[in-house]
Amino acid sequence: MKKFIVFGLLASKIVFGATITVAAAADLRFVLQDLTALYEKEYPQDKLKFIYGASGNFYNQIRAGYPIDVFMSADTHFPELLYKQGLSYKPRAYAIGKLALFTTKNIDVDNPKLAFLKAQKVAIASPRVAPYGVAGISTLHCYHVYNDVKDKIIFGENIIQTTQFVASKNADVGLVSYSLILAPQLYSKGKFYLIPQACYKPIVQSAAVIKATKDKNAAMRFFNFLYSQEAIAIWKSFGYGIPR
Amino acid sequence: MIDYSPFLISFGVAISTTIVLGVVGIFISYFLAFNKSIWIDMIEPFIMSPLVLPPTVLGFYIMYMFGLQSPFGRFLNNIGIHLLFNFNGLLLGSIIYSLPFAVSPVVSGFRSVPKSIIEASYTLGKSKFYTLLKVIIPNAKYSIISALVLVFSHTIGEFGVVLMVGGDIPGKTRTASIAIFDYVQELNYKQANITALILFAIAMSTLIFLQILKRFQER
Repeated sequence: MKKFIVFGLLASKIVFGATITVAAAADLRFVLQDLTALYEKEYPQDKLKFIYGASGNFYNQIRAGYPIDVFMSADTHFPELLYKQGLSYKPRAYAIGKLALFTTKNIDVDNPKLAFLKAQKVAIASPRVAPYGVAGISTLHCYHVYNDVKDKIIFGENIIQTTQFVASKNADVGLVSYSLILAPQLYSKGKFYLIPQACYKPIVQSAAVIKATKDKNAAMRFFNFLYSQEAIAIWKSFGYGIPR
Repeated sequence: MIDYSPFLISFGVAISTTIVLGVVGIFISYFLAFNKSIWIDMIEPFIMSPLVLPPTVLGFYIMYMFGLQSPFGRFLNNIGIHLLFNFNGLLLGSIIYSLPFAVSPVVSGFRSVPKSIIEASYTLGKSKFYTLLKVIIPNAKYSIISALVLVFSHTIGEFGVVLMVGGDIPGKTRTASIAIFDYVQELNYKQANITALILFAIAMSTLIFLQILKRFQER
């Protein structure tokens, strides 16, 4: 009997491979490359596909019937809304994002207030659809520079576009996700300063399996993987805090 | 190394749109070109509106009409019609978005066909449909060909509508123009460059083709 169960488990692991489509907040673009490599090593039968964008846009699309399996938001608000509307299974927080002031120019970011005032263009994600944008605006208030800076903000549609504005030197400084700066593609490109946590509400990021998924088991497999010990190590290496 | 799926999707959508609009466009153009009624004059702006409307306006309305959060969208879903976030959605969005390009050149082509030969065909007892097929269309063939080429290249190049209605799903609705956007965002400038160059070459060759066509027409 026991042998049968073991065989059954093995068979289920081998036979029922699936393509899992994940709509992921833009700040996850680089950390998910590492997580995917680990996941696909552990579950070689599954194939992961990612779509990156602003969490608010994904929320709207999921309500319209977006055919995805897992939604990884940059906040807890949008997954909770989906859950309340019966569109997803129970969401769970996977990481806590941090905000950093980033520049690729010769600007001293260790004094954020001066850096904000000195910059000609400040990149921030759109606070309407991107949780990192909300934190960015709150940071400007925290340093009492909102009124001086508000006319020189350039809004990114999501946090990675915002980061790209800075990386391409089109913005002098930007309030971006710390995890993106830690990615090898960007780490050596500029200087950063971690914004003190007191300046903005913690960016707790939640994921949820979407009810309309074609393969709940596979979706759950990936969802649960996000909270595994191996995954946590990767979250930490990209500068994320781990929710209790 | 280069991911071909966005190109295959773009071409699939563009070819399908061109076929659908080739047929639909000719009939719409026929009614617009030869009908003197005031009602037809009022329809024309609606057909031409995608020329001046931001793609996001179209994308937004298509999404809200056919999405599951609307009663109409739920009704369609229940009877098995899915028009969002799949190939059909891309096709629907592209047909609406490229409609003016299928109609505008053909209408002016049809109007420039000499009245006398159309009337000669009627006098010989030929039906309206037969006249359209054998007299009007052959005389306006350059306009029709340029309309088809324009529809094709315009569909390849569209971004806003396909992003909102298609949803950027890799291997399904991520078209070449959206792929560029994604490559740039992940700082993958090399892939963005390759994809952009290919699209640039396609766009230029269609325009050059139209230029050559114009020469032929003027002869």
